[in-house]
Amino acid sequence: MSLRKIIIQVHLLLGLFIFPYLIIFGITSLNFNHGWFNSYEFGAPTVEVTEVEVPAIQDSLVLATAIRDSLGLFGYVFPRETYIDKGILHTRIQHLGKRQDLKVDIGNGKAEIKVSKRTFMGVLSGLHGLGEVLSGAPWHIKAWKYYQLVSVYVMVFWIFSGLYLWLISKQRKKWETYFLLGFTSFAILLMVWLWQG
Amino acid sequence: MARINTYGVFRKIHLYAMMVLGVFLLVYFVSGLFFRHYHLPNNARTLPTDTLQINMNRNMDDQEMFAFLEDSLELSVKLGHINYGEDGSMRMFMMGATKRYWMTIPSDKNEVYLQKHINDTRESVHFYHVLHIYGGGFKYDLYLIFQDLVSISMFLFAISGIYMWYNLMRNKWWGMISLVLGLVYITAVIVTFS
Repeated sequence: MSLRKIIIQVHLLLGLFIFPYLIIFGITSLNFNHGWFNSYEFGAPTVEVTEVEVPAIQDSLVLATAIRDSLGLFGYVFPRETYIDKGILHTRIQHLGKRQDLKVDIGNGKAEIKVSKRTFMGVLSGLHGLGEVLSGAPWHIKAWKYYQLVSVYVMVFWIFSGLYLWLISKQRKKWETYFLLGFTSFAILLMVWLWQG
Repeated sequence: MARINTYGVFRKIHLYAMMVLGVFLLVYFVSGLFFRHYHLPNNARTLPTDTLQINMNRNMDDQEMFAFLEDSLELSVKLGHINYGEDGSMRMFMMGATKRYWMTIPSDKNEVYLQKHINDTRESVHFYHVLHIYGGGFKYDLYLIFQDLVSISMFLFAISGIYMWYNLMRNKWWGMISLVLGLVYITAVIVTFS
């Protein structure tokens, strides 16, 4: 197999794998500029009541983390919202799609969970920039960081492999070169202009 | 009548979309790396707050107030966000590629407290990634037009790429597996977060 064919195969296969990320990236980038859909606010909460085994832990933050794991929840435990008052543990567990305010009776293990959700666009916007591993999350959520990393490197590979394929193409037109150089130069000059303040 | 070569049209869309995307993707790549490595040492500096004797009792709305301050202090920045204090004070965040400002205006509006931050290279590159919302002046809006063009090019690039793969490859199995894997994975992530 020639180098050209190998590059085309890799270009295509990796590209197909990250195709959905590119669509999310495009939609959310447009929304960041125009604000068509609300990405940040949480909806009206719903209340769920459940029971949980409360371990004998004194530290409220450690206890909240243990309860989060027991309930099969995941997300960041807010230290400022976590405290024990009159035998009730109060805490907030949040990720980019949900905010969960918990009140857990340490005595009998009764837990009240107030769940507020973000919109679909809110979730997509969060995924655009989610580069950290969320504590307590299932494996496929933890893997997002790596999927995103792969996506970003594939995009760079696209640029250089695409450039190579275009340069060796027999169908290459002179004015395409002018377009590429012209557009890129204009974009760089614009960035320099912004840099100068 | 000459037949339109559909594959050729999609190939051209794919090519031109990437020509538009290329330089911006590289900028996003570099700034994205900086996002991930924010813990690295930097030489950014936040200067002590200056108290400026500017009377802001001028019956202006927020945008006019920003324009007035930008003009009188000769700043070249974009308005980021405004926080309002319960005591009637306000705090404006203004950003430029190399500098950021926080402008606090107390409730009596008799003076202005200006805090200046000198960005390091990493923060400056980061600026090109987070410059959103129109209305920050001509050059910032022009950059946002380019960003929108890049977003649209992403769709065109992705969809034309799918079309080209479907028409170019005789054996579509590996491509199909790759595409379905990506779609299933993203769907699982979105469903888990929703």
